Amino acid sequence: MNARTATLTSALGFTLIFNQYANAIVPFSEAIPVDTTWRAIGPVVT
Amino acid sequence: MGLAWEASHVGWNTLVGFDDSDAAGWTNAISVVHPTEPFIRFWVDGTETAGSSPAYFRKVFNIPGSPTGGFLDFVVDDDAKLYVNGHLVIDDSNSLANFFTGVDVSQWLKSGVNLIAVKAQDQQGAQSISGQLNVTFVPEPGSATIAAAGLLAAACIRQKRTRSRQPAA
Repeated sequence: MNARTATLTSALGFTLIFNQYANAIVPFSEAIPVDTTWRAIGPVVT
Repeated sequence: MGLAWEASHVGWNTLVGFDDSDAAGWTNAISVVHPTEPFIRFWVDGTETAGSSPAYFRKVFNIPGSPTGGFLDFVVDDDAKLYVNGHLVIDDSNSLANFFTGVDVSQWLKSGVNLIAVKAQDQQGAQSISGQLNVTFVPEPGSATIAAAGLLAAACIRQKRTRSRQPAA
């Protein structure tokens, strides 16, 4: 991995993780901390 | 469903600053444990109850550098439209739960604040979304420059102190 390149892994519904300088691609599973910052609305019935 | 709501909420999928506050009726999405992978999935109310759809989701996130690549994995039960900075990158309407892997969204990412927005709609049975976005980026030079300047300053001070301790010749 290029030392000047960082990897940002963001899982939908999970914590946005900055894996800077750690070229890990985190599989989507419970291994990623739960993110409570996604905003949601629904059901929308119209 | 949802078209009337979308018409009266223009910008939900394009504007970073769209009002998704509690006062506007939005809430934090809640995770639910699913029996199969991906085990952690999300829905508005943390359940996978049928019928409470469509639902809308938004995530604003920061890329602290210049993005060089972005690949998206996404799972929805059942249908969804997923937007990255307003660009439709997944349009799933076959009424079945689907997995998308390695969707290239590189061209739609930008340095700084980005937005992912999802309209998800259940057609039968349970409902949920999940996934991840892997972004590779070159960090902003600012932080590296500041760190380098700090190290240089520390080295100069150390050198000066060393010289001042040396006995005069």
